[in-house]
Amino acid sequence: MIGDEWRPTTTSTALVVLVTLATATTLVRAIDVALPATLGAVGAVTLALAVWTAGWERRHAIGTTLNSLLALPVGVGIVAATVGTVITLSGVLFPVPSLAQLPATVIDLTARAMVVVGAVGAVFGASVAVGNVLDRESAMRTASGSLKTTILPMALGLVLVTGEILAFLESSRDIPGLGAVAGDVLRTLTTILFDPPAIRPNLTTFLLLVALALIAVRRMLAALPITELTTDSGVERAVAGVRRVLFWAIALAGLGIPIGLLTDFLLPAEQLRALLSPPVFELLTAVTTAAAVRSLAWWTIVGGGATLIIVGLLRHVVQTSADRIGATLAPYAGGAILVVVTTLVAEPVLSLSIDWVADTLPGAFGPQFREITQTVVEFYGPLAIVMTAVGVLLLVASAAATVLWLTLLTKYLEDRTAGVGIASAALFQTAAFAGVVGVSVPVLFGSLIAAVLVWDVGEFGTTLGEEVGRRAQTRRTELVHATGTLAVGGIGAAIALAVSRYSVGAITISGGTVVAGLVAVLAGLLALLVALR
Amino acid sequence: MTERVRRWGVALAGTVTLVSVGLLAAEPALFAGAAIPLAYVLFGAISRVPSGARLEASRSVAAAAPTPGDPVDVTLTVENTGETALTDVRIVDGVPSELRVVSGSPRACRSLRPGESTTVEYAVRSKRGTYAFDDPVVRVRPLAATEVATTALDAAGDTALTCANVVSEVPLADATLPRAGTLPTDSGGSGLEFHATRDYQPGDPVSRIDWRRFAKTDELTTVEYREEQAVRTVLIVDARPITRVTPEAGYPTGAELSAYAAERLLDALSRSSVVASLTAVGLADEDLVGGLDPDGLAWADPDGGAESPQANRVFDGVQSAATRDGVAADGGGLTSSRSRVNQSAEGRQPDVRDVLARLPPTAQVVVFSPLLDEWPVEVVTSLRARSYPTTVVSPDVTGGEELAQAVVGLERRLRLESVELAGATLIDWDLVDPIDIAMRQSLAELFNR
Repeated sequence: MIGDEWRPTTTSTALVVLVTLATATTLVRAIDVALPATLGAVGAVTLALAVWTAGWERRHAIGTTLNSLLALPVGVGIVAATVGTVITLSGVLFPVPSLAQLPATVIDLTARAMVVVGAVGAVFGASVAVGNVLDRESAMRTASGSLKTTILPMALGLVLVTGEILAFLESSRDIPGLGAVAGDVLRTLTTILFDPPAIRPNLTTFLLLVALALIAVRRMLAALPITELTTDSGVERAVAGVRRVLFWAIALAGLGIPIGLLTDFLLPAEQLRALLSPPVFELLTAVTTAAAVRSLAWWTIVGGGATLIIVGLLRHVVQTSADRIGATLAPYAGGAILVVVTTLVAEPVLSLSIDWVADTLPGAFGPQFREITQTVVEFYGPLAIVMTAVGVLLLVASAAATVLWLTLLTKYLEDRTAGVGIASAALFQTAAFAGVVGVSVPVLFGSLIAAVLVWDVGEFGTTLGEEVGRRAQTRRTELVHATGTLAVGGIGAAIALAVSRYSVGAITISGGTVVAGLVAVLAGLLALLVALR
Repeated sequence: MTERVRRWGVALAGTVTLVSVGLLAAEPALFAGAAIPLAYVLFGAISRVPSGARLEASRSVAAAAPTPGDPVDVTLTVENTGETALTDVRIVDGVPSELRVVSGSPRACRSLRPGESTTVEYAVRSKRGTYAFDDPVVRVRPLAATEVATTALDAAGDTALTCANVVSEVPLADATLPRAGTLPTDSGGSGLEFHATRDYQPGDPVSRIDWRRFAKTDELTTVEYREEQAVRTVLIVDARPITRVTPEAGYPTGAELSAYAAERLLDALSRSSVVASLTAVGLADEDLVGGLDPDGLAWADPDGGAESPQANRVFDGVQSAATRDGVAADGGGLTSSRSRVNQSAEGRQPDVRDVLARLPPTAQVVVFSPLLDEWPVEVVTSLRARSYPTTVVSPDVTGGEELAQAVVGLERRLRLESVELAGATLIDWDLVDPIDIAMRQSLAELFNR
């Protein structure tokens, strides 16, 4: 039954998952970074789930929502596996006794971190291999879904942070350099717009605000479905009348602005007072500089703009099918949910994370970190920081998905064997770096065999699933094949052991040079292989 | 056919990675470890399909003559007759593309020692006609799976599945057949039973003159007998595109089931010497050998029942229409096919008047239709309005749990009711029952009026 619905066979998939998990666990245990590695593994499984949900064809809206909600744990997992591992390891490995050991320690730390990263990648590959869910389409959907989810929290976080910075710049006068200039500009702007001194009429900005507010109201009246909601023709006429009046009011205000320029900036106050007579001058000054009126106009503009956007969206939405709307809005809805949750738990999460990092960092770094963060938190407030952090985490998740998609686009990874390919390559990487860190030789060779086995069994099961299907009984053949592969691996390991044991003198590196003969032999073998193919 | 497969690229890349990392990090264990992926690359490079591999296959089909819709078990046995063990033998039996596999899988993957044999067991849903199996294809790989040899085996044993419509034994032995295709009338003429006498008119046959009376009274009188009219039974098979849907994947379509029921009834009628005509509506010109009649009907007056060439031509036409226009085999095609048909074929709905125009004045009509739209109801109402004794045989193809299927089923039940209200005799053929039960009812109703 070859059709669109083929999947890799069960036994092979189970073998891939088991071998990958066992190998990754064994290698990571040798590093001793339990918490970041676990978080990373959870993130990897979550990314696999996100890819799976993004590929749903039938319940597209639900799939997209789940995909966008899963983006945060994915980001957390990735950051934990990388930054978290480095922090944890630096707590263990630093401070170094002497400066001479620093390069070696840095290499060691990097290698260990790479082991964790590789193991996490292997877990992701194995999870994706379970349903064979990873292909170009689902990777692209995951990436775009996560990116759309990022927009809202990121924008909000940036707005909060920028708001804090602007408020700070505006309120304090004794900051040096560029901050002072920015603060001055800000202060001038807000003063001119919202709180001008009541010493003379301020027509220009007043009329500008009023005109904008009236335009907003007029557009709002046109956009709102008032006439559609009533059958009364009187209402329709009234609305038209109001709009006409507003049009003339706007035109009047617009014409008034040049006059305002004249009276505000060209004519001295005394002359104006003389021109208008003092009571009119006082009244005009009071009205045009009233903060309340200006604030009302400002909020009318903001409210009108928001209404226009909402009405426009609704008009667009009612003309589209439910599932498409759902799928389109889902990432933003997911982002909104994340924003709400973040707002609720921002403070405890922030203090917990700061505590963990401060406790894990070595030596004097911990208290220093705590001091710095305390100042930062006091300045920006926990919500702004956590919201921005959530945005960054989501961005990391989107970046991971995008990299995945790009890798699939380059066809270095085939769609059909993407999962096992990732698992196998990641295991190879893990084993290689574990070798650098210095795990025992049997573990190292075992992991190398496992890496090849995962690829071999996974590819075999995929081909089998394509050609024969899951309904046929294939277990015996699969086990025979896996046993054969293991046996070959055993022979290879025996050779490797023999090489490493009996020719230690030959390949032991002395002063950075390797016995050239061995390299030549290896190069020759590779050349032979290329020729054989 | 043998081809190489490149599947050890990962191992090769691993070898290079390990060597480089081993050199960079000055780690002898890693350097030595490069031997492991290298071993795989070498293994893959030298691995070949054994040259002496030989396989033999034989196939057996369980049922000799199944009825349409029955599952039929098929067993394919493959034996390794060569000298070497084959670790990876993939077998795909050549199931006819028209038949659907309903249980098991016609594909398998086995490891076979020399002399060992394996069986592939599956069941297909039978359809009317003879379907030839293709040769099973086998694919052999060595343990490293770097080479693929594909070949088709000559399968011994059964090579075709034949599903005959007409069964050999008489299925309707106990059906009541009071009259052999005639209907008593109240007019005089030639016949067997005395009806009346009248004055002789020139030209009356001499054998009909009442000579006794002539001897007594010297008057010429003519005897009239009750005239017997032959009743024609007309079978109308509804094969319009809308009826070409299946209750579940692989099952015969409504049109095919209707034709099948008509074929069985036609056979039974011909055994009972009833004169019958057969027509199918809704066929396209290309479905029928020789094309449709000018009025768009496929009409046949077969002599010799369902096996006559004329009848076969019509049934084959229905079959080919159903195959051509069959629903995608995903089972849920009922509603999608409906909408598709409604869009494309709305314009060429056959005219009820064409059917009525063809009917002989004295006829009993049996309409075979799954009743998926209003057309058959219209036909039956028109027939009843002209006092034709009418029977409707309706195979129920509206099974299924989905909402759309439930709606279609409900509509069909409403149509059944309106058909019955119009005065037709109704036979609702639930596909769970064998067709003989429905047929028995059909015949009893048809002749017991």
